[in-house]
Amino acid sequence: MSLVNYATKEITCKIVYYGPGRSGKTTNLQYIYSRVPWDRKGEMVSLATEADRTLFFDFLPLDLGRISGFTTRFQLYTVPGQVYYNATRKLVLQGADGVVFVADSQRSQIEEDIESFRNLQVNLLEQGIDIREIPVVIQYNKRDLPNVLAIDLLDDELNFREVPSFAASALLGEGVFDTLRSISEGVLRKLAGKLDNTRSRSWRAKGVGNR
Amino acid sequence: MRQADLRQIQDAFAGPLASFVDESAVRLAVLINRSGQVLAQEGFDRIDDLVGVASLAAGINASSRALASQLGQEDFEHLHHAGRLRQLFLGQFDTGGGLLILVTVFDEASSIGLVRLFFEQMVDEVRQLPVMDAPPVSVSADNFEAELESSLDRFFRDLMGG
Ligand SMILES: Nc1nc2c(ncn2[C@@H]2O[C@H](COP(=O)(O)OP(=O)(O)OP(=O)(O)O)[C@@H](O)[C@H]2O)c(=O)[nH]1
Ligand SMILES: [Mg+2]
Repeated sequence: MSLVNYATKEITCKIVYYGPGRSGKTTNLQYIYSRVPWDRKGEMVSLATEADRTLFFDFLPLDLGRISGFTTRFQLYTVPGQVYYNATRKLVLQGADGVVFVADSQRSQIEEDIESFRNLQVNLLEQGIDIREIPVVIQYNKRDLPNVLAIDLLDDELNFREVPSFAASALLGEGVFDTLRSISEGVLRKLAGKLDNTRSRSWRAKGVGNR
Repeated sequence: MRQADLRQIQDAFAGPLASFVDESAVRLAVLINRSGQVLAQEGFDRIDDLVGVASLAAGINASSRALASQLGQEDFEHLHHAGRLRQLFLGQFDTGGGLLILVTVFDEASSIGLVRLFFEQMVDEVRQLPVMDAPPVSVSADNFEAELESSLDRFFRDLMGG
């Protein structure tokens, strides 16, 4: 869940890149890391196996600057896509404010895409979250490869909720920022609704006084 | 991220954490929530180091809890890793505001006994912090939404262009 600190006027949101193994989640973060100037990002942490498969997560903190006086920070995470790592995938998904589902567009991968999307729904439900309640964006990755399915077809299989979807080649950087922008907007719009009405709990220390 | 940001992070939890660091003589300490978001810190010069440590610690904490529950064990109270020069201590505790985790690094200037003692004390202090039901600053959702588009435009234009 997003953390809003009214005293220091900071917002921190967690976005999780989800999807089947080798769909390009880590590649998305690597591209973002390579393009964002140093004063807008922290170090990227990657917990991977020797074969470069994500073992636990990748993590990249971003600083989007100020919105309405709030310093806005995003924490981007990727999950390990391999079926085997479901337990750690659930942990990374905890407290997500938004999800980017990275699908592999290759014809041969459609079953894996569908299975992973189902897995996302199940894992969200386990946390008491209906997938319709959380901002989700779908990215159809690897468009540069020859044997890819048409976007319409992929939409039919995966995007029955008609969430924003983007064609991408993360390796070349195409579509990476369009995807990130869309999920950022979704998450922050949802947050805006909560900012002024709901009672939000925050803490104040003894002796810190009224700020 | 800018250096100045480090100072801004500190707010409500700064007091209890500072006394912990003083009394137990640890080198680094950071207080995080379950998602790895930083509530207060002492001893980090670079925010890059800080958020990396926080995300890893949240990961360790989450996986230890999950492991304990899969093995049908009681949840652990803390984790202690003693290296040759430095030691790492991770302690979790429940508060009215959710589960929090203290991550601290210490050397021969302190000891695991001291750390545990003053950790308990800090937990009591944090639990006594009053919970406020309303934010002290009122925020207009309309203003926020109005600014959202242009702020994102600016951020992404900078990225694409540079
Ligand atoms: N041709 C092509 N290859 C890509 C693209 N995106 C990623 N890849 C390649 O696909 C492979 C897997 O990419 P990763 O980003 O590691 O995949 P992942 O989703 O993080 O995989 P897991 O960590 O196992 O879940 C790598 O060899 C990438 O270079 C793309 O857009 N086009
Ligand atoms: Mg990966």
